Amino acid sequence: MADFFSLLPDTLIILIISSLPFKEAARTSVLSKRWRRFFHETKTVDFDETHFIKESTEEDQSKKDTQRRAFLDFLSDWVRNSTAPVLNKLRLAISNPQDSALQVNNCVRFAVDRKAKILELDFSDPSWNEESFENHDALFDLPPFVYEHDTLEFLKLFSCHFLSSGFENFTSLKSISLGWIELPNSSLGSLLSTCRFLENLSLKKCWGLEYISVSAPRLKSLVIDKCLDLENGVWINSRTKLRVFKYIGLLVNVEIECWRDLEEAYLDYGLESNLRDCGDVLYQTLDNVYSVSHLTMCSYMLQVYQAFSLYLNSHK
Amino acid sequence: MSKKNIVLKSSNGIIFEVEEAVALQSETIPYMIEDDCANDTIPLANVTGDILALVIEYCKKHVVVADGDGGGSSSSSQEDLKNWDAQFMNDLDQSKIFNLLLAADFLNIKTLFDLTCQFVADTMIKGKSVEEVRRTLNIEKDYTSEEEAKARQENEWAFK
Repeated sequence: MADFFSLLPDTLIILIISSLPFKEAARTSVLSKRWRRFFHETKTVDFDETHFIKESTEEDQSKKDTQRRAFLDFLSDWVRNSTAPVLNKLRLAISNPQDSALQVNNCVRFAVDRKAKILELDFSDPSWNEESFENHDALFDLPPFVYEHDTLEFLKLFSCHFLSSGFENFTSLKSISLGWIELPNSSLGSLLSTCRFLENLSLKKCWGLEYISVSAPRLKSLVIDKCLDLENGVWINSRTKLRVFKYIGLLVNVEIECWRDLEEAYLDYGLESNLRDCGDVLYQTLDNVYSVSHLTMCSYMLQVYQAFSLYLNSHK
Repeated sequence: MSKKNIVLKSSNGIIFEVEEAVALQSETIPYMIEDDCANDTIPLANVTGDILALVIEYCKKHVVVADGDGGGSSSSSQEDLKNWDAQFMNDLDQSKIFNLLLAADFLNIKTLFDLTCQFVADTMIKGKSVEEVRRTLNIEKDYTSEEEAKARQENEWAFK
């Protein structure tokens, strides 16, 4: 077999390595002396605390501290030594970022300097329970220089404070994913009116909303995941030609005015603990989505249906 | 509406005539058209006939129909394309993949280039042991055992 890959120019091998998950890319540094250099040029960077802190050591605080230090040392060394002129993606997942603010800031600065198109900052704690009603205050502010990154295309912020007014510089931003954060309705509204080119919006474990009202002509996909205080429901107005709608959480009223464009709907009410009187809400929701080509529903709907049928039969 | 055709010539002299929209998925070809005379054959000195045939097969499948007749691509056709891409790559041997990568780079066809990179990453490197990757990609181990142990230690976290 001819040695094809030794003939490939460095630039192409770096792009192949950039197509690998960061952990897999790190392993290629052991292949040969030539490949060792390439890892520091990968354009896809993922610093994840859980790669270093293993769950089994959850109890042992001193071991956990040592592992966290090893993670921070690795991160700082990497940022110092990276030779990639531009990045495609940088993800940083670390709990309690305020305890390592310097390293976290340096890392975010690195992502912005290298024009990472995808920036993901996840400061949530892996021990937080997604299904609980408990909220956790964010303890870190998005560094101000991030708002100057005008070529950013995808931004994910978990448990990180931000100024929605600062988003007006993000003229290339197409996707926003927010999670584990207090999101007053006014913030969401101003975010949607500021980011006029937004195509994908994902909200996970956001609180303080009460309701979600969306008017965004370019928005194609909306994911609402376990936002548990939407008493007043979700309303998507007729200017929004949504193609994908995904909802996970408590049963609330959903109204999609422009349901004709909807191609895919996903409805999961698995967090409902009992079968309450909700026929109207379910009827209304199904009426919105009956024409989609892919519909995924949870067993809660079937349970409600079954309970209802039994009720009808017993009253014949 | 008359469709304009472009004639491409591979390094081993094989001639391909394709519609302009098919050829223009390459960002390199427009420059070559500008440089030469538009009606002349465009010589591609770096691409052999069998690889050029594959590139054209890919570009024909991916040509965007830019007319008003509901030209927007629906999600199902996106899914079809994805399946087609996977099958297209699966049918190739390593030598073809390697040459396709070089051709996509030279012709600057971003989607084909990304597809090929991702395929190499997913099928030849991902989830494999260091020894397996060396074998698959025919990479010579030029480390001494001590050097390899040191390199491994540097990124110990990635092997856990």
